[in-house]
Amino acid sequence: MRILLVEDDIMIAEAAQAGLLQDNFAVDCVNTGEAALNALALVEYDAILLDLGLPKMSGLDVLTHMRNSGRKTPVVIISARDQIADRVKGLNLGADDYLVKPFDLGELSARIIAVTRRAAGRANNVLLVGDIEVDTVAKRVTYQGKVVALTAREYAILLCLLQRLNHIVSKRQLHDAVYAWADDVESNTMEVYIHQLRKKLGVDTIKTVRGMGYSISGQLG
Amino acid sequence: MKHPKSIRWRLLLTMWLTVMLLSLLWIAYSAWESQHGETTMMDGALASEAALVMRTLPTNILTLNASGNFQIKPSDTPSHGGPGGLHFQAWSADNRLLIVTPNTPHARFAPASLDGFATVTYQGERWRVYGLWDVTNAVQVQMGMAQTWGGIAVLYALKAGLKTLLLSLLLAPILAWVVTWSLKPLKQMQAEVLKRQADDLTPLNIDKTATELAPLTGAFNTLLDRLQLSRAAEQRFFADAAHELRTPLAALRLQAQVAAREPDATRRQIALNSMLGGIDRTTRVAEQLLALAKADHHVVSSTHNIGDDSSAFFTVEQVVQEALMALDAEILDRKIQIATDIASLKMHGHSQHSQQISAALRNVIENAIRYSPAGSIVQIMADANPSDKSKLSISVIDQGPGIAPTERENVVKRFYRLPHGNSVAIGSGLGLAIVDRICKNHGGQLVLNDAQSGGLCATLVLNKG
Repeated sequence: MRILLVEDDIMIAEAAQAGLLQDNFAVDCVNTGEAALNALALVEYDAILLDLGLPKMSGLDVLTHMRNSGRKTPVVIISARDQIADRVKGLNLGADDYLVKPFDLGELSARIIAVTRRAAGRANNVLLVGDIEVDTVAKRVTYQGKVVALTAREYAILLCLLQRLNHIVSKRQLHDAVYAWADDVESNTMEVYIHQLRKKLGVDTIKTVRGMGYSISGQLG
Repeated sequence: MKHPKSIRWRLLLTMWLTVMLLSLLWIAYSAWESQHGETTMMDGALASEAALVMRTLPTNILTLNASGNFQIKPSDTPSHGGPGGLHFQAWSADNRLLIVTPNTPHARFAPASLDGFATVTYQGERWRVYGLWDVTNAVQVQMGMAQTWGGIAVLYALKAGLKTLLLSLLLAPILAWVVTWSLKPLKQMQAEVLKRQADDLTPLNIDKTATELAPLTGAFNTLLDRLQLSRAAEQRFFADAAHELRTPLAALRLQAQVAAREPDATRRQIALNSMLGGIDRTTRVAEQLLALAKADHHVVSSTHNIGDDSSAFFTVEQVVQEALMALDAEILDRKIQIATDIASLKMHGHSQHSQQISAALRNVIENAIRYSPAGSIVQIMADANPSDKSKLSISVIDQGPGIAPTERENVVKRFYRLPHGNSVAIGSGLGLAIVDRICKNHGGQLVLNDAQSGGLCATLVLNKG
């Protein structure tokens, strides 16, 4: 999953990014509201972590701007101010969750997963499609009842495809979902990951749509 | 008196005393007036009686009673001659007593020259006398009456006065009620202030108070306003301080958690190193908050201490050395060259003053190092202030980006940070606020200007002591 972290405090941004990376999120960091809006125009993020106390354009401004332009990306507000009024205001403006600094990395990950799950319209953390079962909290994948070991990237690609079930996902979209800007990527890596996934989850699981991208078809169980 | 300061008692007492005084004056006046009235009445009687006697005297009275006096029988004149009654004497021009009322002494009431009224002392008593000569100036009638104070009229007046006095006594409870009623707005205001919560600083309703209380209510409301402002500032400071402490702590917590969760040894080391940075930063914020609290507190104590012992002094050079020593690591780290030009200047004060000034200077130099390009020169200059001999200036000049004139006022505000895109430097947002405070504590100020070299020239203007 690809996350946009909007935070002006460099230390918090760096540490949160490192922590989210450990949890296999791809994280882009920006430190102003303007940069956040620019990033949102370029990349389809799965969730946004938004600090309220930004210089010039505040977090609430970013949120308003985003929602007004019809962007539905889930937003988790992170703020050092724990005034209820702020929280209520943020939630009313369209935020999906709220975390007060200092927060726990585990909780941050859990909340990101929860808001993305809710955004996808699911009630629990388990995705079941055919023989594949994905626990998005434990990040555990089973195929035909057996636990399959996936790398972080493989897991991210599988999740991206499952979240857009029966849709064609372009290579570009998969790329965006897996890599942050800072990551070094070689051009044929996506094919390598798809190949690995097919080896672990059955050749027919992921279909290649020529010239368009990849797709997983099936019924959500 | 139970309440010597009570307005109620004051009003009551003065009003009642005034009523008493007025009734006493009234009594005195009416006594005087009735006495006066009595005299007038008496004068009329004396004159008409004298005329009557003169008319009824036998024409041959001078010869009729040549040898001695010829007496009137007491029964003939029942109203004359008795005690409190009229007495008359008729005298010839050659000073013979011709006729006299019974029981009247034979000595003259008044000298023979009397023609009209006179008040005389006659045999130890005050007498009112009317003297009347006949046309030929042969016979004089003197009609007299003993005049006693406290005649019937006076007695009557005193009685009326006593009634007035009694009435004024009866007036006392009414006065008390009037005063209490008039002071009711005060009581209401007191009640309203008393029933307030300790933290309720909303102004009193000025429309409801009496006109006379409006200035007091206004002054009270002004005070409430000022309290409200200072409390709002305090709350803002606490909120800001909490925010400033919470942010580095949040970073620290994240860094620690990242390090704890990292299985890879190399990356764990990196995470631990960034944690050290987080600890340094948290420490700095705590130190700065403490420094600001000290600088705030210092305002009260500084003026006293300097006056106590004028012999204590320190040099500007010492202060600069102290500040530079604390920044050794940063100077080395950024390969900054320090160029100093310090005039030999003494400042009066104790070590705590030199520590404060060196802390202020340290903040300014630290900023200069932080915002200057690596390897550049930071100049520190100190000299007596050219315009004011009692002051001196310490300037720190860097080659950094400087501060825009529009932001110079803002940067000395607490927790204000310049909005910058690439925030390489993480400050507490308190540095220049502390410097400004300390400068003001020492009778000066912090002046920010463009340096000729293009960077910032921060000047600490300070009193020499």
